[in-house]
Amino acid sequence: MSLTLEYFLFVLAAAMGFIQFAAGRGGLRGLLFSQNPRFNRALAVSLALPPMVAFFTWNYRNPVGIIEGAQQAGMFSLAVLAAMSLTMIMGSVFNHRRLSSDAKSTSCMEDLKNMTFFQAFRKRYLWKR
Amino acid sequence: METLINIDKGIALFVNNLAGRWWPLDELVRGLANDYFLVVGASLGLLVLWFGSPDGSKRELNQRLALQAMASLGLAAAAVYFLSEAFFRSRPFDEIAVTTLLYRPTDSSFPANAAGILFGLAFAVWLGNRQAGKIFLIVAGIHSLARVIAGMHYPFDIVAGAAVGGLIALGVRWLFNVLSPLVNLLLRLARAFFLA
Repeated sequence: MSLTLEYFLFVLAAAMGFIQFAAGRGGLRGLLFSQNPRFNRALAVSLALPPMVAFFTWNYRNPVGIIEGAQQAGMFSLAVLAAMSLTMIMGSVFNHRRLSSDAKSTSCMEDLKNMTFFQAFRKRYLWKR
Repeated sequence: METLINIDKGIALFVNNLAGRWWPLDELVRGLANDYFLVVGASLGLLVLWFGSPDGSKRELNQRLALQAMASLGLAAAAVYFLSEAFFRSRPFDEIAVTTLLYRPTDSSFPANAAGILFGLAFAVWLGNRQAGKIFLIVAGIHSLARVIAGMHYPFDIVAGAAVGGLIALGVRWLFNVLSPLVNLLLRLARAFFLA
């Protein structure tokens, strides 16, 4: 596996963990993979910890292996965008039955407290037609 | 100037004395000083700032700060690049008898790139949210100290990097005020996808 791909995958997993942790703190239930706060926190840690350990030991595993700065920035942005998209999709699938699109819409991130991304999207853009 | 450089080298040697004495400390410094662990950690910390506030108005403030921090990070990296092209300074391991714990970069030591990036990010957050900003500043400080212990930078490189980061963060804050309609548009666009 190339260093760039390794970096991308580690950032992707870590970003998903950080988003789970943050969504739990922010009460954004539509983004959570589990509605049990303790389990979700444990899930966030288990997603973020291994890649962070991998980053900590990066030079131990690759003594001269570095990724050029611009490439690193590009890969990082791509991985975070992918993590956000995956979180929205997975959160929508896992919470489809638990959350309801009947909740009052505010047309911003606040909606994700009571609805999944797809429920909020459908309510805002498709129901109006 | 000569005196200042000698003092800088003296402090670098003194701090670098910690390297190569005790292997657990060496491994810790290697992990903290590398280009990935704390840089990625701090950047991902912005996601916590973005998604992590339960209160709507505080969330919007934090999201503006996260945007400022991202802009500061990028502009600080660019500023450090141009400064290091203009003022080349050799790395400590090329000039003095330091113990090097990581790989040996060939680019300029001055100003410290990672310090510029991390302090740029940290000051941008600190200017609007002291509590969260303190955490980012501590991370930037730990990374910078680890880079000096690892023999990759002189202390003055770090101070210069932090100053560049701080100035860029102030500039970005001013720029965000001037360009507030554009920032509002960006946030409205994010709101359209329930991201803000």
